[in-house]
Amino acid sequence: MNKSSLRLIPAIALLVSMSALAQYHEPPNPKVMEKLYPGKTYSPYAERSFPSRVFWGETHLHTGVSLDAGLWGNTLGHADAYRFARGEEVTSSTGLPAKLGRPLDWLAVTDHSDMMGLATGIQEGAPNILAVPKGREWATAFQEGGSAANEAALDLISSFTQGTFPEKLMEDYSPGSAVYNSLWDDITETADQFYEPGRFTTLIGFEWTSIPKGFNMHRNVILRDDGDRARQVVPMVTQPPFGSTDAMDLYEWLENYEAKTGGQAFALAHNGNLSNGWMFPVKTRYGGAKVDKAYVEARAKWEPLYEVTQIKGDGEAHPLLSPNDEFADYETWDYGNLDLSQAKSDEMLAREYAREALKQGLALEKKFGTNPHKFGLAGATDSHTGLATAEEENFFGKSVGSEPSAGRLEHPFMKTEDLEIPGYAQTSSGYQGVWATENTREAIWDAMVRKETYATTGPRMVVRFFGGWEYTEDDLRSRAPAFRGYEKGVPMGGDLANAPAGKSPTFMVVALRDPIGANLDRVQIIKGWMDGKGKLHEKIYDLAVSDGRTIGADGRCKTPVGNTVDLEAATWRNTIGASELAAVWTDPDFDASQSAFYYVRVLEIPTPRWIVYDRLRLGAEIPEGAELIGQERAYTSPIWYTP
Amino acid sequence: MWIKEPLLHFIVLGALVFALYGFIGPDKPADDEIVVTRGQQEHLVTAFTRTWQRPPTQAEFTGIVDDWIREEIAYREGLGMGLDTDDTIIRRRLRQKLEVLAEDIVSMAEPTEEILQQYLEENQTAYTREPVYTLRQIYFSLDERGAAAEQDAGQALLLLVTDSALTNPEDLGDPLSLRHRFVGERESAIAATFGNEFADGLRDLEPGKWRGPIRSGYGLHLVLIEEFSAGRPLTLEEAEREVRRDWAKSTGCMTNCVEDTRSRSSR
Repeated sequence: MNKSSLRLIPAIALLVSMSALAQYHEPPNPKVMEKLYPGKTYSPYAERSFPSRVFWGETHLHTGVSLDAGLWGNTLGHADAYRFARGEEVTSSTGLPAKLGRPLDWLAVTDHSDMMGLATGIQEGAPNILAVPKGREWATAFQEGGSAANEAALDLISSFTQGTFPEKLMEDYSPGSAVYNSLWDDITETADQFYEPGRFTTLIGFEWTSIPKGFNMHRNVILRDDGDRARQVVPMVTQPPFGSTDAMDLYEWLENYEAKTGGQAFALAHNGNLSNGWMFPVKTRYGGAKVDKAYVEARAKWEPLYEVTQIKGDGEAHPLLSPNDEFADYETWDYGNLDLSQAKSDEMLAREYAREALKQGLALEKKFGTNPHKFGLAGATDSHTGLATAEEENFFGKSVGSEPSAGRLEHPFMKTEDLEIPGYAQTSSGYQGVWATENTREAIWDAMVRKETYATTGPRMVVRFFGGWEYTEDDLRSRAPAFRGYEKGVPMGGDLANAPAGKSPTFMVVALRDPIGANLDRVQIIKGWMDGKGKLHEKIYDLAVSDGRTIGADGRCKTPVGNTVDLEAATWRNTIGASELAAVWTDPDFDASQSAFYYVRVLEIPTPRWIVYDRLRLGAEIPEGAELIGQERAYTSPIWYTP
Repeated sequence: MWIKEPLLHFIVLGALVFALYGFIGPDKPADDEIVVTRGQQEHLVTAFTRTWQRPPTQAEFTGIVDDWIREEIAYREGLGMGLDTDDTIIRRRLRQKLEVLAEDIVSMAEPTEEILQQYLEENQTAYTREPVYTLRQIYFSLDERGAAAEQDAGQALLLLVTDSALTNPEDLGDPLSLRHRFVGERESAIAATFGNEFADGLRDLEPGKWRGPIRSGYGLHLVLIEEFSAGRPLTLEEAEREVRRDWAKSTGCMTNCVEDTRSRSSR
């Protein structure tokens, strides 16, 4: 049998099985359909091009191929990461059986592009490593294992962030070397092998780990394309002469990627909270350069998303920036920069958090004509275990060292002489819900670029958000709010303009809790705007709250939902909160001459944090000062209004 | 007969082998002698040329050969002193070399259809087609109706079964933003939307008729399965791409060679 006839067999098998599938056909009642979906064709599915299902995944996962992950003992590869994400059981690097409660629909593995494969070399004691004194020192420490290996890993990372990394090793593990190229081939081939359109999507990507002075400027790069295109390039790195730590050079790499391969790519940043004021510059940016037209235009073009929540803290809002927001202090990490070489000071915060950045974007748009912070919101884990876990009761931690064990709560995440990020502060977060038309690379990527996505801190609540000028309560009560939503306005990530005279924008929100998760406390719209004098404002409106609580004239419900958490049993009861909260809301304070953005925040009722499960299952001692309970949440991409 | 005497065979064959080896075997140097063969010299020149993009000068050539000799002396002395035993780096390096070798062999070997078929059968649970449903559902909220939800759903079912002219059956239940009709959805997608309990509950329902209520993560549902295609094991033709991928990954040295050795040692 030759090859082409072999290829025909699956197609024939499919045809046969499809004819078997058609046996229970019963046409729907046309009158029902007409009433359900007014203004559409008889068959509502024929012309339906909008997404009907949310696809879950994340854009930020590291395997043993990443330098730091490998140094901390991660022995899992890309195939393991894909298997785990699609729901299979794998064995973690510490030998624990690991399985997700529910499979993910898609995944981007994004290993650090700098020094890809170096850790593997050190683990194995490769000759080129041993030829360098520092390399020999690290490899020897790795032989010893345990705390010696851990210290060597930290020493290596600090030499990297402080720019004292051995030059010879830099060359061996940078683009252009045989090791590096074959690794990239392997990564992209594995991604193609595990891509099953319609069932599980693998997005090819990498992390560009710019970290001048320990300030987190990281971006993940996500390709729309398959391995054939990806292999025409090698990833962008940060170390000169091979790469650069300046985002402008990353944008140029993206430009070149598209020109050379005919493919498409974007970048998304994360952990502004560890950038010590560098992530969202407004006057002077990285390296002392001015924030200018070229910069704002390039950032706007290449960064359609921002990763707002992950294991290293939640970055939506900070209590000092938003003193009237009682929910702002959620999983806050304001200790310092990434390697804790510099402590945090208050004035840095305004350049670190998403809500503030969205506001500053309006000001920058007025100044330059382009909004560099017009980003949608994504959640991801940034897990370095190869395991994409964000569930509180199934959390494998940030790194191999913090995989489940009785002692993991007491082991600091990062520690210097003066500062410490405690291990229990790790955030079991997050995932990204994508409103894509189908589960393919193209559809998922396109949805991300049009920002029809939202972030959650782990739970899979279903959130619809539409903005327009004519939504009414009837649309909400109609049997298919999504049809009305798309018909009369734009979904999350969209734009409103040309305000009809005398009209205020209306928004429709529907939030359904995770089918196996906690009930919802409330649904809020957070509005940011710039007044006529150029001053920036923010305001929170409660749109719908559970349990018959009332929303005051100020748009707020100050009554907390309550608390059903049983800390001994590590459970909660859905006897408070609501399965579904929905509302149509009209901005009561709208001024058509002022630019604004609106995004939705959905809050769950209180549930136990992951450390409470550690106490129950592993007998862990919970250190003093650790938070035991949290209100998990979703953040949608904003809808912008531009006069 | 003396010709059948084993000892004689041994002596004759041994002499032959010895003579043959002396004739074609390598000119083995004595233990305290170091010979830099032509092949080794060429290897050193190639390595130098790759680094410097030019061949070495005579002086450089003498230098790299001297260095190689020094390394060889140190290597032999080290081996003699047993410095290679219990050295983690050497152990890992050998392991790595063995794995690379094994992977090369595996990647060269194309699996036969028989091998793939056998792999498929041994791992059949990983290669199945999921059940696919087209269904309608009516939701009854436990939050809203409490204990009465079950009874309300039962009454609605009675109405659905007896009144075939009912035009808006969805109105019998409570509003929920989930769709009322799902077309050609995989069981796993249904489970992701409603929870596993609901997906499991579907398996017991008779297609073509309103049935239920069954439970989801949100409450109770009456369900009409309009179309259903049962799950089944995939054949090799259907799953060849995945089987080939998984077979190749599972045939790495760590899974096969090591398992082989492990079973040999435990005997």
